[in-house]
Formats: sequence, structure tokens, C-alpha cells
Amino acid sequence: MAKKMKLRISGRLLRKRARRSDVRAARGCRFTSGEVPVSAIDYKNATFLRGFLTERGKILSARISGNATKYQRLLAREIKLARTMALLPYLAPERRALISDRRSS
Amino acid sequence: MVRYEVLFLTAPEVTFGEASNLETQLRTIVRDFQGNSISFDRWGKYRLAYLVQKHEYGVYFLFRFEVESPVLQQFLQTMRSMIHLKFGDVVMRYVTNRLTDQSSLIYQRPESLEEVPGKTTDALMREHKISVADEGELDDVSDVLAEA
Repeated sequence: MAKKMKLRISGRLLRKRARRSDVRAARGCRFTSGEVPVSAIDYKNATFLRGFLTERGKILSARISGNATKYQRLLAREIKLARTMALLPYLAPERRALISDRRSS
Repeated sequence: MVRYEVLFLTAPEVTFGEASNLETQLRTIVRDFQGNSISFDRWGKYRLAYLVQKHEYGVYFLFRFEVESPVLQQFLQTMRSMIHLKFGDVVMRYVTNRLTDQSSLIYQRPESLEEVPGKTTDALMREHKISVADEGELDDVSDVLAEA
């Protein structure tokens, strides 16, 4: 009877290797790569700027959005201008607060 | 020539007359300072991101012009005082922004409430569960009224 061959690589290592191969390459800045024109960063273009805000209305960090520092600075300035003109919120109401408001009313 | 734009946020009940008055006043000042008015766009009515002077809605106007740089400061001062003195109750907020020479005059803005098709009466009634009174009920009412 042939002896059972022992696996040379453990399951844990295999899983680790699979996880590593799944990690995608870090996404670069969409403005530097030319994917999105820099002219899109405009306080009047509030629908576009809304994509760089969290649900709560805070500005997303460059670490998350992948923006280059230069464009992140530009974006932050335009978002703040849009907030002044009430095109974007300073702080969106918290979902929990909304629910409690509805319950009380 | 330096190119500038001013975005006005006005009260939602701004009339056509007030808006055209604002436009003519702005154009007159620009002409007085030997500048050129480029455009005056009415964006339309918008739901504001937060309450401004207790208003939930507002109307935006975008005015673009160019003036010579030596008179720029004086021009902006005149424009600001005109807005505060004559349109203090109409204009809620405004922001002045310089346009670069390379920037194009085409811009994107969020969709106005006036451009979004409104709900039909039927859809609104269905949403609020309002049903039209039956003909029988109407007859009853008319009977009651006749008796009275």
C-alpha cells in the first residue's frame, strides 16, 4: 500500500497566499492620471464634490479617495466654498437623530 | 482684463422684476468701470443643504464679467455696497471668485428643482393615500346642502 503523501504546504499558508494575490494594486489619483479633468473640481459642480464627502458630510481623506495632495487641497477649498453657498452641507443630520426625531413626532 | 464671477443665492420668493433689476444694476456698474459683462444665468430653484435665513429653498444666479485690474478693487467695493444697500432683503449670500485665463466658460451645476419633472396629481394622491370621494358621497353632501 502506498503511503499517503503529506501536503507540503499547509492550508493556512495556502490561504495566506490566496489572500495576497487578491490584493489589488493601489489606485492612483484620478486627477493626476487624467481620468477626471481637473476642471471638474469646481464649487458649482456640487454633485461631483458630493462624492468626496462622507455620509455625515465630512471631507474624505486623501488616503481614502487616493487624491494627490495638490488636488486634495483644491477639492477641500472648493467644497468649503460650496458649503458657504449652501450647495453642500456642513454636517448632514445623523441617521439615528433622524429616526428619533420621527419617533418623537 | 481680469475675469470674475459672482454666484448669488437669493430668497426663493424672488420675483422676475427683482432679478432683472439686479442684472441691469450689475451690468451698469460693469459698464461704468469700462468692463464687459459676459453672462447672467438663472440656475433656478434649489433645495438648500441647510436653512439660510430660515429658508429651505433658494434661487441661484451666476454673473460673469471682466474689468481692468487697476479698478478691480474699487469695482468690487461698489458692487458689494450696491448689493447690501439695494438688494439686502433679496440676496441672502453671494461669493466672488476669480476665473483663470485658461478656464473655459462652460461649467456644470447640480440639477435644479425646476428641471426635475414634478409629480402628477395622481401619484401624489396615491402616495398620501388620498382617494377621490365616491359619487354617492358627493350626492349625500349635495342632499345635506339642499336641506340646509
